[in-house]
Amino acid sequence: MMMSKPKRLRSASQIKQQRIAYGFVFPYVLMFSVFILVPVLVAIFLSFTYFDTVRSPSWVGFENYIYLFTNDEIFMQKVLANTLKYAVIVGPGSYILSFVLAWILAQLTPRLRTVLALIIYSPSLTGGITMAVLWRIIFAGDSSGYLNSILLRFGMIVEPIVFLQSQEFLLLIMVIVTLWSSMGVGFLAILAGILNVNQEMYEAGYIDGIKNKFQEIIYITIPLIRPQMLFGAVMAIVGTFASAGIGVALSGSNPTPQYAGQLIVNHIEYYGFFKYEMGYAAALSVVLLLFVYLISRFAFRLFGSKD
Amino acid sequence: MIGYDVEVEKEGYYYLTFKIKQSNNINAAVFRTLRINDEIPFSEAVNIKFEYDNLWQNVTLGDGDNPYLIYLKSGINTISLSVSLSPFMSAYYEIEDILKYVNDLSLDVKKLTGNQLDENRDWEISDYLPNVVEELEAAAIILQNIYDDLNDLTSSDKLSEAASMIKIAIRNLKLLAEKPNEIPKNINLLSTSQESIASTLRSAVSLFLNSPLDVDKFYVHTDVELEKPNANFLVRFWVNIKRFFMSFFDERYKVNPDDDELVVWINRSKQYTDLIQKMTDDEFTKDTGIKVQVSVMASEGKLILANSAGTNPDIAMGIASWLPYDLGMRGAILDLTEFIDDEDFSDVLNQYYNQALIPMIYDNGLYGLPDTENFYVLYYRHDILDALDIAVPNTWDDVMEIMPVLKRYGMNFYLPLSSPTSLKSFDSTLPFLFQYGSSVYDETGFNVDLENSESIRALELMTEIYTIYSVDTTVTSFYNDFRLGKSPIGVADFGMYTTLLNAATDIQGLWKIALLPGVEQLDESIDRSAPGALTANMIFQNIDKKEEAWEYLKWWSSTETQIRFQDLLLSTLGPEYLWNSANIEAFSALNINETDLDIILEQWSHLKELPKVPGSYQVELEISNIWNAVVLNRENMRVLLNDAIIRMDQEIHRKMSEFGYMDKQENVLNNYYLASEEIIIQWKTGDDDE
Repeated sequence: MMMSKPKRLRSASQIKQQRIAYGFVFPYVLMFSVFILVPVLVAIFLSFTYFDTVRSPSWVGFENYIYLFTNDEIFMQKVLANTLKYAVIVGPGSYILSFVLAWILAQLTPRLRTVLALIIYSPSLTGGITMAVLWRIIFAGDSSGYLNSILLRFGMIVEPIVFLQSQEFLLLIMVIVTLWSSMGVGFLAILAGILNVNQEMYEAGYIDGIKNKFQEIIYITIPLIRPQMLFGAVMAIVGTFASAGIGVALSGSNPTPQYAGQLIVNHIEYYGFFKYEMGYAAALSVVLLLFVYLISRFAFRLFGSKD
Repeated sequence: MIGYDVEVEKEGYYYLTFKIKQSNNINAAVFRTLRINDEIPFSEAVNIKFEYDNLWQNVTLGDGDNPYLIYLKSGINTISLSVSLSPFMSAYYEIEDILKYVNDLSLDVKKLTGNQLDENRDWEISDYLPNVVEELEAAAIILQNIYDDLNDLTSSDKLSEAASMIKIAIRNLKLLAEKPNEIPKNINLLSTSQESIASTLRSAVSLFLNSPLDVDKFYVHTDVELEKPNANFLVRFWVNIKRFFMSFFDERYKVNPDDDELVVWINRSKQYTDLIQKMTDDEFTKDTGIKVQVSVMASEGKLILANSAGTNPDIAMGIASWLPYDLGMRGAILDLTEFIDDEDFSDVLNQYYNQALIPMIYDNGLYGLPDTENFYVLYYRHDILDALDIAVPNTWDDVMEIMPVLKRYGMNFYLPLSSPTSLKSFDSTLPFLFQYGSSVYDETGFNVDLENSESIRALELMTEIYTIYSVDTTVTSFYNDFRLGKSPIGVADFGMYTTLLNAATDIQGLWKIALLPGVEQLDESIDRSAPGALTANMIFQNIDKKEEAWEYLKWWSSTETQIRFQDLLLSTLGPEYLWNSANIEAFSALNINETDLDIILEQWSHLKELPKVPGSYQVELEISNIWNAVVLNRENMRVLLNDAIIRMDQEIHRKMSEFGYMDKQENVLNNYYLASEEIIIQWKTGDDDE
């Protein structure tokens, strides 16, 4: 028998229920559209224009993208390389660090655990950029900087090293600072997940032949906290790209010296606000968006639920 | 001295009670001299003591139990209070003597040990400085007496800040006296660190000179009960709650400006804008009838965005000096040459140095007027330079000559290039390029011209002074180093002048300024060129009231208004608010030390600005990168310069084609007019050959 009118016909109460459901979702959808969806669409539109923020945009087609991939040597040589280096270390790095710390904390007594969790979590609240004030003192380039004065006292160096303006050290320092402040919401989520694993599972595992803690983690803990791992991964990825301002905050200028700390976000800011080339900046941001999208798809593959 | 006129009905003896708050000098007392009708009534009135309390106090003048009876005649009596520092004066002079001794001792020790602090080396101090132990102990005893006297001045048991400073100094003196042979190792206790004897005593001395007192009212009364000086807790609590809610509403409610009002946004703090609004209302609006609404600008970035949205003001003032060019070339700003036929046009321009107008010019159009102008001069501690027998350098060669002497004592020469930011702005690099004769761009403005010997010599000097002559590459705070004597000489700007004048009371009188070192030319004159553009004022293009806006700028920039504003700032807000007007005559009338004024004006005769081309930010960036790479990574300057020139030209061409001066193949389509003094002179003399 053919189901001629399958889902169209609903009872009045069902329609009303649907409307109520839509009503609940509406505020969020509105906010999301206005503050996220519309700007993304506008950015995509602007990426095909030449816009100097003063005069109205003029259409230039794919010119911005062509320039990006063929002519923007700073992007290709420095920015892309820096961003990848930074992202590869900070992304998985902070993620693994979050997991390891969360796991260690889960083994402790509750009170100690709360205190330590708070200590580990608080840098992420203040944001790496405000912390740059602290780090700028530690890494200050004259002999009064903390790190320099310690190294000088122990005779390891003869002259103070100008950390924040030197090509070699700036990216490394950015990585350290970001790792330090990256134990954020993702960390807490993983901690919660680990704490919520049913203890009986471990017992069952030990009966079935698991010999040590390490196997315990791989075979029981991680599979059971898949959703939290996914959340942590996405937060880590987004966080990595969002904390890009750290290079500018540490070195005091955009672009960073010799572009040593230049990440995609700084590059976008530079083109958009200093060179008045918003169209190109928009194109860069679209590329960044694709980047982040692809990587998070990959994370979904790893941790997403199979149903 | 501040006097209050009081009308007294019946002559006779009265008590005098002041409702005051002395909450600034913690645990210390403050003194005032009382005068009745310009005469001091009795000897105790010379030093009336006001002690510390966090809250308001009713202080009845008296000596504890017996209030003073003060005779007042009928009619008007003038009661006045003036600051009295006499209880501190002997302490002040004694400490000054000890300070001089400590500074001299510290220099002697440095001369003895050189700047290398070798922890493993021992010194027999008594061989070199035989009386040091007795002298240190004597100083400690003097300070102990001062300390005891200070504590006796107040009835509180707790230490005032000055007293604690002196206590630290005493402790350090005794420490050094106990182990004289370790004085070289402990030189930081003597003079360099914050805890050092020199530092603490300097702070104590400047604290003596601070005598703030808030006076709310005073009572002339007989035996009556006065109201309590502080409201009770509940009342205060309620008032604070009310205050919290009121903080959400500005006292001047945000009203959209009327249609006939000129809208001015100023990129300065509220204190400035309030004064400017008042001056505008009292003078400009009264004379011209044009109403003006002056507001604080939240941030300069908002200007660009506001312009896109069409909500920009008519006039923007106090903005960065590069904005008129950047926005003007994109058509957002009014070209002021529109008013060239106005009879006042050349008068307005004549108020400024020619060079000060250069950054505002694009394509022979004038897009802004300078507001404040900066200057770079040499600051030096003449006490230290005299002690080390160093002459004030006139040229960079002189500077390089004194570097070894400075370095031997562990001291440094400060340059703006040593600031801790990694972008070395044009302000820090251009002086060298200009002084050696480089013009940075070629005459067409389409390319840079840095491959010549002048530019290369300039770049070499900029880098060698660090790599060979060991000037410190990064100095976090020249201000601190200058005060502590670590960098007794250096180049800095107007901001440093105000700061040193007002905040560094401990080195008052110990420093002077001199002209910026330069490069000796063939005719034996010294080229001391340096840029100085700081802030500017501009009018937007998309407005109706262009004429009115021009009238306002004319009024604001006029010498009369600038002088009045300068004085108003100083008298209303205090000596920290020095106004560095770009108006030459107005600045010459500024109330600062005459010698300093002469030096600044002379330095300004060397003012030189780089005309702008599209893409000049790239030039600034590349020169900065060259400096970074050579000084920090010891790379080869010529190689870097070659690559940099390619990039600079590339970027300039890119921008030139964006604005229609070149096509995509880098062929020149239109001439680009590099801003030059010629066009400015034309404007200034009202020359009509366009």
